This record gives sequence, structure tokens and C-alpha cells, in this order.
Amino acid sequence: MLKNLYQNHLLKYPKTVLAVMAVFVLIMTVFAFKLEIDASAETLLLEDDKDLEYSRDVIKRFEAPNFLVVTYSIEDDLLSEKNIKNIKMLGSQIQKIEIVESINSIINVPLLQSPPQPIKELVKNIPTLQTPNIDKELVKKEFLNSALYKQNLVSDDFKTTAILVNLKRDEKYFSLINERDNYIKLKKERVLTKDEKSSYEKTSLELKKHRDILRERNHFSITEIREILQDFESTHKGIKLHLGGVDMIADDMIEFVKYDLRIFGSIMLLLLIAIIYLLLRDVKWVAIALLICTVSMVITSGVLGILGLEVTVVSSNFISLQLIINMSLILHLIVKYRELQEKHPEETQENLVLNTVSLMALPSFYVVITTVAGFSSLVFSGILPVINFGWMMSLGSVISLFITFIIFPLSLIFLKNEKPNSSLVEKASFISKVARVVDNYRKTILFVTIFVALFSITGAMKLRVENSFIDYFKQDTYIYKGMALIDQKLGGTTPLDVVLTFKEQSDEVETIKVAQDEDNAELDSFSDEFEEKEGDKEQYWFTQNKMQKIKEVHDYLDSLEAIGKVLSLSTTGEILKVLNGGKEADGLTLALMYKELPIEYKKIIITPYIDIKNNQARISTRIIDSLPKLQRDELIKKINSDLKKIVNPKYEEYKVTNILIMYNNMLQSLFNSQIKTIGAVVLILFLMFLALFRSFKIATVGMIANVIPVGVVFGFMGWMDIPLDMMTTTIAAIGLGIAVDNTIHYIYRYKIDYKESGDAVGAMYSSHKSIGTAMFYTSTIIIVGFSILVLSSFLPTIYFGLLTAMVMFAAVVGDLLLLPVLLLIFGV
Amino acid sequence: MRKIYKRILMLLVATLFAQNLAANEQVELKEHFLNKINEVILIVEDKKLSKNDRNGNIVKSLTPMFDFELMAKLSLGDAWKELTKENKERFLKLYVERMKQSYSAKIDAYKDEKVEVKKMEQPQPNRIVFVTDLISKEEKLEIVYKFHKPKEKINAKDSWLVYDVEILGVSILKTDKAQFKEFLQTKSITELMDVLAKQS
Repeated sequence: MLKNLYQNHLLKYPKTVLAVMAVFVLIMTVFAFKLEIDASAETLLLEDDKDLEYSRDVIKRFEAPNFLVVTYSIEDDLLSEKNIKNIKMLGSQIQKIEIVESINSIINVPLLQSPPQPIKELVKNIPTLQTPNIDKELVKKEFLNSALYKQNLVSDDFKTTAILVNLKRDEKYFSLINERDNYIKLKKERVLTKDEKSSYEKTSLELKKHRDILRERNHFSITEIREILQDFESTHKGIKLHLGGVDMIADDMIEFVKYDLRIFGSIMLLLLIAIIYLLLRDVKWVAIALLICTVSMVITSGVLGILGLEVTVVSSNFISLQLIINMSLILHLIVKYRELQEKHPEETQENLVLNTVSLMALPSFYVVITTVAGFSSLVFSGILPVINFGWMMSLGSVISLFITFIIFPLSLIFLKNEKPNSSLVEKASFISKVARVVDNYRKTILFVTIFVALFSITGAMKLRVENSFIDYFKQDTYIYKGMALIDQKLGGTTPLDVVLTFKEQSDEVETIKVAQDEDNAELDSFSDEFEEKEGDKEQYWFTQNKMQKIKEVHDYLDSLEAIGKVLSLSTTGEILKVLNGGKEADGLTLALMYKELPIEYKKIIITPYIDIKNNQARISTRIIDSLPKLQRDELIKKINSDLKKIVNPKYEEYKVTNILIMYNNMLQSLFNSQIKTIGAVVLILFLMFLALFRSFKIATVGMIANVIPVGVVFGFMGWMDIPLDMMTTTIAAIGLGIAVDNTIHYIYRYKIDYKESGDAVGAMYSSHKSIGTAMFYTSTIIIVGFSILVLSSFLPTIYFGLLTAMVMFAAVVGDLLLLPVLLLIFGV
Repeated sequence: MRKIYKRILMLLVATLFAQNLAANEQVELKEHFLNKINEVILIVEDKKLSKNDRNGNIVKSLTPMFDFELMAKLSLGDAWKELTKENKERFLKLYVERMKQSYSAKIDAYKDEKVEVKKMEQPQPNRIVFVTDLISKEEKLEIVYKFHKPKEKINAKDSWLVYDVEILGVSILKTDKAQFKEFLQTKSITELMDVLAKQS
């Protein structure tokens, strides 16, 4: 049937088909430009994460803006006239940028202890560094010792200071998120009406558009800030400037991903071409492979553009992956074609082409369908970027299959049947040696396999997941240096907040029962006056009880090694204590401070830490990301269990929140879903093997020959203490998806040869020589191709490249050594 | 008819008289209050005295004007009514001691300032409220003093006694009340008294 299709249509009108293809590719090119890249943090977070919603709410209520940090390092005196002037100038330049709301630096923060004075006096007129005749020695002392500023605004060596760039809050963005989330919630409860559905779609689309605009604006602004910093650095000798902050990291990640996508996509293509040429020594094959890969890429990108699937950090390597899958398909066709050509040199080109495609169609179809099965298991992960990655790869594989089977025969039809300039048999000498190893060392191979399996299992048990922003970048990069400076000297990187809620009139809080008494008549005459009134809450909120509890939590968090700067109302309390002659400030003092402090200072030292309306206090911290061996999930669990002991659930509630929690949730669910989906992948692939070869024995053998090599990577990662992150968690699915391809090709071929000769060992030798050669070629290409990713500056890409190369190596070793041994032992 | 006129006339006279009396009471109290303040200012400005002596004198001078006992009771709110007699006595003692210490120290911090009564109110016959300004070189600080007149004059006390002070709208008594209420939610009155004892 397939032969007919080729004979009567495709090969009959090759020029027409090619012309139609060309037009189609042109159209798809237009859509390919619509393919979007979004590596922002937002895309990685779980859509229906309650913690995410809570975190957004907390940021809104406590008016804690997103911020960037500019570090200013010098070797001389930070408080010299020159430096003050410089910081002021830098601040005013950055302030002009569109997304910037305000700047806090040593220039404008309130100085509360320079000199120490009674709170009543202080509140009247709070000095800053710009106040005339300020005593700079005192200021320096305050910066280095104040609970608020030390290791936060200035480093301990007083050589580095932070300029905090507070970013504007985009209300439209958050209201769109809210609106969309409401629809998502509603959707879970019931089926949406037609109107609701259309406005849900409209909101989602608008959100996406708005997010794109914001991202552009953010990126533009960050670039602008970097330019300002560069200009400044070049005109001011001896000053080192760095930029940091979660928003910048997210933006840089996008840039790295984009860069890798562009550079490694094309480097890999060139590399693949070079290898094909080296192996086959024929420009013809290079040209055909290049044509097929390009067309497949363009069409896939076009389809993704039409579907609106975005490339994220997780899927950033889809182009490289698809190239490899495609190249493997092409190589198998080439090897088959040349094999037939050698066997039947008298055949016409058309017949050779026809036989090649019709003989390879079934195994290739199997290969692609199993790859799709492997990748579509990612759909069960529940994490949008991972799901999308699964779709992208599935789609890409199918497109590659079709394009290869259209363009490969068509291009060959136009070419003459030339005798190959080198024989495959010569090339196959290495593979023949491998076949001899299989024949002679069966027991050794099995023994090594058991050893490898043990290594993998023990290693895999040590696996952990970790998301460390700072570890995404190489230590010698500019961005790493800036982040490390902020991380180690200015209080840490990833934000983690604890929100304390004080219960007031809950059922659990007992009210005291009142006994009526004659003597109380006088007291009762005052009762109205001292009833709690609506407007009273703000003034009488600051009780010793609350302060005490905040302090307990604050001090606890501060005691943890992994936590950098801790800021809360307790910090303000500490400063007031100093001003109060060592005594803790009483409620009256705090209430007066809250009422009288000018708003600009209130925004720095009070409002980010309390929400009186909701009876909440926020203790804000940053995690020291560069701390070696930091285990975030463990840390969060420890904080949760320790806080349970500190907080009395009858009167207070606590919740940990912010970016650390959201990323941890994402990774944990990724990890859990991986464990589940790996099970699903193995099962699906097993069933496919069963369907393809109709033999329980072969299916089992095939799975063993794949699962053990893929397991090696996890064993390796566990033993080397490389944590799984959002990119490496997908390796298992990718590894299995690609590795089974070779297995299918091999078993398929082995069965045919065995059927023809009835000699198992002979079939093994001949399969190695033919399909084994193709497998060896494709795997070499894949391994070298992925190794190239080591040149990236983005560590997730490097790990991904190395580990995938390793899976592929293990897989081809498994297919050429273990699989034949198992087939020889168990038969087919 | 005449009778009615006579009655109205008498009523009018009575009210006028009462108002007059009330006005007199306010004026008298204001005079007394300002005298007290001057007395305190003199103490504060007397640099010959040690800080402790100064504070002691401030307390001595102000104590007759403040109804610390009532403040103590009100600060506990309904919880006061639940206390045993011994606890009531201990709490009163501790509260009064804390008040004296805390406010003498606060007053001592004031320098070169004048007090001006800008408004007087008498919401009830036995209550008077003074809205005052504490005027310094740069600005004014509004402080409200609330007086009440106990049915029977208390020994060694003035006839009008301060039972609450509001600084910029923040009531000292309400602050204490909020503090104690929250404290007593989680801890016992004995613990509260221990904390107060530690503070003084």
C-alpha cells in the first residue's frame, strides 16, 4: 500500500510535490517567527498552586515591591563626598527608567541612631546622610551595627553598598491573573457557560499578551540599567558595579536560554553535518540531511507558533533534540539504502529508493511512535512547561517522520545511482568486533549489567531536587560574581517570608466570663469609653505579646545558617530599644512611631512588615543561595516543624511563603510526577513492544536493555550529588524516548535475519554489521551533538548536554552488548 | 399659667447656675492643672537634682492628680472583676509603680516646652476633658487629659483625678488594655504580674 502511494503519487510527480512542499514551508516560516520564548519564572510556577496565590496576596498587602539590587563597591571610604555624590547620581539616573518606582540607598534611608536621640525627638526630624552637618563617623557606626542596615545595605567590610531599585507594581497584570484564576477555580467546580468560556479565553489571551509586554519592558529596562552601570564604571575608575535581584535573574535566564537556542541549535546542525560527512564521505547525504532537518525544524516551529506553545527553560533544547531524532531517522534510511545498493548494484534508483522507504517505514514508524509515547508521558506531570515540552517533542517527532519520508525519496529520485566511494563493510569492522565481544563474553556482560544496576539503584536513592538560582551560572561569569556578592555580603538571594496571623476573635480564643458585682458599678460607668472602637485597631495593635512572638520567630530564622538577612517589625523594635536606653519600646512608643513617622520612612521600616487590618506580621528573609550543600526542601520542612513549636495554634497561625516556597513546590511536584511518569513510560513502552513484536519475552528483554542504561544517569547523578532541577528531571523521559529507537531497530532487524537463517549467532553478527552500524553512527552523532552543550555558560544546559550524552552512550552500549546477549540467551 | 412661667424661670435660673458652677469647676481645675505643670517643669529644669531625685519629685508632685488605681482596674477590663482580693492588691501596687516610673521618665525627657490648654469639655457632670498642646520650638504635640470626680474624695488625692492621657490620639489606658488583654489570652494574671514586677 505504502509502495503504491509512493509509486503512483509521490515519486510520479516529484517536482509538483516539491513545489507544494516549498510553498508550505514558506507559509510555515511566517508562523515560525511567531514562536515565543518565555523562560520567566512565571512560566515555571504551578498554575493552581495555592502558595503562589498566597504569595501574590502577601506581596500586595504588605506593599513589598519587587526590586533589583545594584551593588557599589569601592576600595576607599564609602562615605566620602565623592562616593556620596556618585551614589546619588547613579540613583537619579536609574530612577528615570520607566519601571522604577523608587530608590533606597545609603543616601536617603532614615538614620535612626546618628546620633541616638529620644524617639519623640527623632520622629520630628529624621536625619539622612544628606542632612547638613551629619556626623559621618556615627553614620558609619549605624550602618555597620543597625539591625536594619548591617549586611543588608552595607557589607561588613564597608566596601560595598546596595542600591535598592524598587520596581513599580503592575496592577493590570495582577488583576488579569486574578480574573483568570477565578475562571480556573470555577472551571474546577462546574462546566463553564459559553460566555464564561469565551471570557476565560479572552482573559488568558490578554494576560499572555500583557505578560509579553511586561517582559519586554522589564528586559529593556534591565538592559538600560546595565548600560547605565557600564557607562558609570568606565568613567569612574576604582568603582565596581553589579546588578542583582530575582527579576534580573529571571531576565538573564531568558537571555541565556535564547542564546543557547540560537547558538547550539545551529552549532549542532553544523556538527551533525560534519559527522555525516566524516562517516559517509559524500556531500549528497549531507545536503539531503540538511534539507530534511531544516524543513522539519521550520514546519515544527511554525506549528508551535500557530498553537501558541511557548519555549521555556524546560523546552529550550527541543530544537537540538528534534534535530537528533530526525538525524537518526535519516541515517537509518541512508544506511539501508547503501546496504541495498551494495547488495543489488543492478537495481534502478527508483526501485532502490522504493525498497528503502518501504522496508524502513515500519521500524521508523515504531521508533517515532515509541518516542512520542516517551515524551507524552510528560503530559501527566501537571506542570505546564513540562507538559508543553512533551507536546512539542511528540509533535516534532511526528513531523520529522513525515518530512523525512517525503523528502528523502524525492531527493534521491533526482540523483543518479552512484557507487558509494567507500564500503560500509570497512566501516563496520569496529561493530564486528563488538559482535565478537557479545559472542565471547556473555557472562561478563551480564555480570557487569548487574553491577551497573546496583550502582544505579543505590545512586538513585540519593537523588534530590534543588533549585538554586545562583548555581545556574558559571562561577567565572559576571552575573555569578554579582549574585555571589549580594548573596554572601548583602544578606542572601531567594526570598522566603513567614507570615504570622494573630487570632483575635476566633472561636478558639476564650473570652473571660464576667461576674456581676456591686463594686464594679463604678468601673462599668467607664466601660463605654474603653470599648474597642473601629478606628482603634491601628493604634493599639502594637502589643508586647505580638512583638514578643515576632521576635521569637525572627530570632529563630536568624539563627539558621542558610538564612541571610531577616527583617521584620522586630528589627524596628531592636532599633527603638537602642534609642530607648536598652529597654524594649512599649506599645505606646510603637503606636506613636506608627502614627508619626513620615510615610517615606514608614514604607521602609514598618509597612512591609505588618498588615494591621488582617492582624498579620511578616518576617522577611533571604536565603543564602551559594551555601554549599543547601537542601531547600529540608530547610523548609525544618522551618515548618520548628515554627510549630514556637507558635501556639490557639492564638497564632503561621505560613511560609514567597519565591523559595513556590520554586520548591514546583520542583517537588516535578520530582514526584517524574517518579510517577517514569512508571507510566516504562509501562507504555512495554505495551508498545508487546504490540510491535507480539512476544512477552522480547518486550521484557527490550525494556531491560533500556531501563538499565537510563538508570545509569540517575545512579551517576545520585553518586555525584548532582541535584535534579527543572531541566534534568526531563532526562529520563528523553533518554527512554530516544534510546528505545535503537532497540526497536535492532530487534526488528535481528528477527528478520534470524527468520531467514535460523542461526541466532549468525543473525546477531549480521544485525550488528547492518543496523548496528547505523545505531553506532546515530549514537555517535547524538553523543557528540549533546556534548557541544558543555560550551554553554548556562549550567542547566551543560548538565543537560552531558547527562543526555551519557544516557545515549549507555543506551547504545546496552543495545549493542546487553540486548544481543539477552536475545541470544532467551531467544526470540 | 403663672405657675408655668415661674417654673420655667426657675428652671432657666437653675440651669444657668449649674452651667456657671460647671464653668467655675473647669476654670478652677485648669488653674490647678497649670500650676501642677509649672511645678513639674520647675523640677525638670532643676539641674541641681540627680536624675533619680528629679523623677522622685515629679512622681510626688503628680501622684495626687492621677487616679492610678482606677487606671489599673480599667486597664484590665473585665479581667479585673475576676481577680481574687490578694491579686487585686498586688496588681494595683505593681501597676501604680510601673506608671510612676514609666511616666516620670517620659516627662523628664521634655525640655523647653510649654503647655497650653486649648479646649475644655465636660461631657458628664463628673468628667472633664482638657485638650492641651505641648509647645516646643518646632511643633505642637496634642495631649488630652481626662479627669473624673470620684463620689467621695480619696485621701491625699485631688478632687478631680486624671484617669487617662491621650498623646496624639493614642490613649495610654487603651494601650495598656490592649497589651494586657492579649497577654491574658495566652498567659495567667500571675505571669502578667511577674512581668510587671520585672519591668519596675
